[in-house]
Amino acid sequence: MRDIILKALRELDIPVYQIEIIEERSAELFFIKKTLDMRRIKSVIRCAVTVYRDFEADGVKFRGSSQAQIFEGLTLDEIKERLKGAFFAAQFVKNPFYELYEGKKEAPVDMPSTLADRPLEDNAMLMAQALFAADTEEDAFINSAEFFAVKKRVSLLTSAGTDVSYSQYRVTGEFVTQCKVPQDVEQFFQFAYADLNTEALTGKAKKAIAAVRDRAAAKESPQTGAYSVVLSGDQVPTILEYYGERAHAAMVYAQYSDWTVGKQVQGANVQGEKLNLNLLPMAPYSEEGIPMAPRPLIQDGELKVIYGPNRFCRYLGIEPTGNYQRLGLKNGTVALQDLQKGCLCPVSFSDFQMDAFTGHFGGEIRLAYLYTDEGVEILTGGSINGSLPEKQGKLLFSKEGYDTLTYTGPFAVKIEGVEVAG
Amino acid sequence: MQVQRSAFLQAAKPLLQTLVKRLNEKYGYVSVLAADTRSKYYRVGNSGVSAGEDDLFTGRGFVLKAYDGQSYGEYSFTHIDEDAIPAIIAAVEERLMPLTGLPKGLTLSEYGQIPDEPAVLLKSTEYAIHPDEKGDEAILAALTDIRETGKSRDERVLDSIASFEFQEIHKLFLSPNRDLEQNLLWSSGSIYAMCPKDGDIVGYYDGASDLGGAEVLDALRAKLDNAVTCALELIDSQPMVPGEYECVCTPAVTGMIVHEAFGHGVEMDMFVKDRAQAKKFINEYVASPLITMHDGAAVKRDTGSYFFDDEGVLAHDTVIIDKGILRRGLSDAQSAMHLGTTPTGNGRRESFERKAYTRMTNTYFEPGTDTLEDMIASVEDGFLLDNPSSGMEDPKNWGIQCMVNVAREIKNGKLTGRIFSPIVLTGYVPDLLKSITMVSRDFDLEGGGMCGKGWKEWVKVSDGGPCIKARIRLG
Repeated sequence: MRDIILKALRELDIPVYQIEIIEERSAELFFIKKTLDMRRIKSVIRCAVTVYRDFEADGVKFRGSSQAQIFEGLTLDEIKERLKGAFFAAQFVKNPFYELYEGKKEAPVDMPSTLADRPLEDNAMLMAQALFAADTEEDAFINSAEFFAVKKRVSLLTSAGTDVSYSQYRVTGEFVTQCKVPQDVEQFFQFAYADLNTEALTGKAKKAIAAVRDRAAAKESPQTGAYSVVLSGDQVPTILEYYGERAHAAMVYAQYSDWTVGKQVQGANVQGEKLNLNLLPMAPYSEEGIPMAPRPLIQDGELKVIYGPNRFCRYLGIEPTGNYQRLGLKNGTVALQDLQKGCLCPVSFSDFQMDAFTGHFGGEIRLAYLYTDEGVEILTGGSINGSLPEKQGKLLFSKEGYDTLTYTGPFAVKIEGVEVAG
Repeated sequence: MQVQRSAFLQAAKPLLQTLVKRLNEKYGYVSVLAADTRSKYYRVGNSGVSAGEDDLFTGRGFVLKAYDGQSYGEYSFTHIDEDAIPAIIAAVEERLMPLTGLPKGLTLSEYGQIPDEPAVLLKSTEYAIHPDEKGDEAILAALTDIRETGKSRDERVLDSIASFEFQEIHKLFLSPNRDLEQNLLWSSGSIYAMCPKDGDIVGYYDGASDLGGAEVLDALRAKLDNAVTCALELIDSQPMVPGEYECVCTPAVTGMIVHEAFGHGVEMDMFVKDRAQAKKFINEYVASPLITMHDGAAVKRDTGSYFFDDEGVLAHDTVIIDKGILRRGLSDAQSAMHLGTTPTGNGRRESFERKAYTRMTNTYFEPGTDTLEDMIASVEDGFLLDNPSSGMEDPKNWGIQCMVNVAREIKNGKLTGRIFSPIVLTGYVPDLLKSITMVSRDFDLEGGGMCGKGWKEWVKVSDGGPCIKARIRLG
């Protein structure tokens, strides 16, 4: 596919381009309770070619670009037709000129994974076995589950010298837990692993079943008012997305963010923990072939880098870093048990969201624990609605850690004075 | 003008027929869905200009479904020619259908065979101006004008992002007895006006959509002024005081309630999993008698429209709620088999690479007889809710979680000019729907957004209806 695309580009005299080819195979299982309802396999190739076109207007140099999707089985003439269309469109994409990232040819990288040891179908089955191993009780159980065992090979080639590829395994999915007594409730969970992490999935399922049992027992919603709130698990990286997005070169270039390197992004008066946040790679190369390595994003509350794809970094006159999708937080001074004292601790929302433009976070509470001097109340319902820019000076993080494909760091964060509607 | 047929699908059809025939010798039921889709996006904003083919909505490929007398399996692939057929058959016979390694304690489903009723169909939708005819230059010029007009309206406008996209869809469904082909074109556009507020950014989003072409750009242009005005108003917005209020919802907010709060709850694959409370409420009142709710790819002309679904079931107009009473849900073919019901043409896939689930199409409440003015005049202390931003389904518990961008205060029947933002709507769905006391004669359907199943499986849908007046808990 790559050779025929290169031939088409040569014959069309398109000198600046990027080619991304993704070959993906998967084995997928869909369960309803403990019954396999559907099985699927997939073998596909996707290819996207970005073509660039340089032009001048009023003495200013521009570089337009446009993307064409190329499919398996297209003839040379069909590929040329699609690329010609994209090249035509690129002349109207009036973006200031920038250089492509200059890379080089590198040896293919096979990201190590225990998932590589056996067929995808077996990986999917083993993860199903691991999940349902936790499903041993009658009152609370796995309602349904989906498993996707995937192998992906990504190849990137640019006219600026980049010629790299890597292969990657993943097993991802979701499951729903249900408890029927004293009331019929459910909770939704997702998982994603780069290895055959069966123990982690069994552990997650056990906790999920315990949580849905608690939710079934919960009747009351929290009283309306302001609370110290402890958010945990996947809610912590969702909160931290605010910092990741505000420091993104696209946000800064578009003037949606006024952050600059050296800015105290938590404000001047930090009474809680000062953030130490790192950008972590999930693949050896970015979508543009930029080699990815860990980078500090925020140290002691001070912004260390503006990061992002090549074009926006070039415009800002900074080193192109590529996009990062994983955050690592080096914080955590308080034991979880101490952090929770006197706090409302929502552990499950219907959809917890952070708006990076406004800094508002919130969601409808599915399950929360209120820790008081009298004990623990299990609550459900109501919603929280807070502003991170207003509250970020007093953040405290747990010593206990939490690891996912997109986050590593403290399990929980305490935020003071969050409005709760009961 | 009618959307033209796909030459690629025409060329692939004999090969696919051969594939179905050969696999049908071994498997009781075999079908293949072939897709040739092309989507192009255009966007102008502070970040610059972008245009290109969208990778989510552009693709060519196939999904084969086979039944072995007990259960179903599917194989998604992107390549077919004469030489590839033996390898495709081998993948189905050797990797997909023989089930090995099912762990102890887990079982395999037992389904009957899909009734393969004979049907032949060839249909295309119509458009006024194909985006390809309009051309990249004219589309980007129109968006640039929208963006620059919005930005120049007031120096406080930080950005006015204008975007447009379209998808041309060609699908072919073949089984031993069915030969269905459809050719569709939808287009949608959006404006997002943004203003700074105390170091953060507030914004107002609006969109236009149609089962058509570049004519949507004119409808989008007409919405610019209101979007910029509302974004400017949001600079002075205040946080909501939590509580339960009398609320008037604009058609866009009604649409979000229809879709997120109720529609997901009547997707019958959730009935199969015992994940939807609606299953227990068939033929019972779940809403005010003023409410009649529809879903259907065949019923309205918008981004959720088609002639047959991704399992080869013809599109329907399903009356879900009839004058307040829940009559039926929506289903894909496999869920319908499980439940012993008739499929409603709602089996949809994100693409040929994905499984089919029960999905909504065009979902809405029928209009009523009231006017918006009378509805506002009837509110003593409440809000006019506008500009939905997101929502999440909760079929099991019928809990509402919808986010709204604008709440305009109403006191003694009049808008005070005070605006609150952002707003979280919560509560129990039937409580909200039963509290509806007024329904306007307006009607608007909007299909700019996408719908997910949980956090994935994105498909285009539209939703809307009239203005409604209800009691809603706001936070």
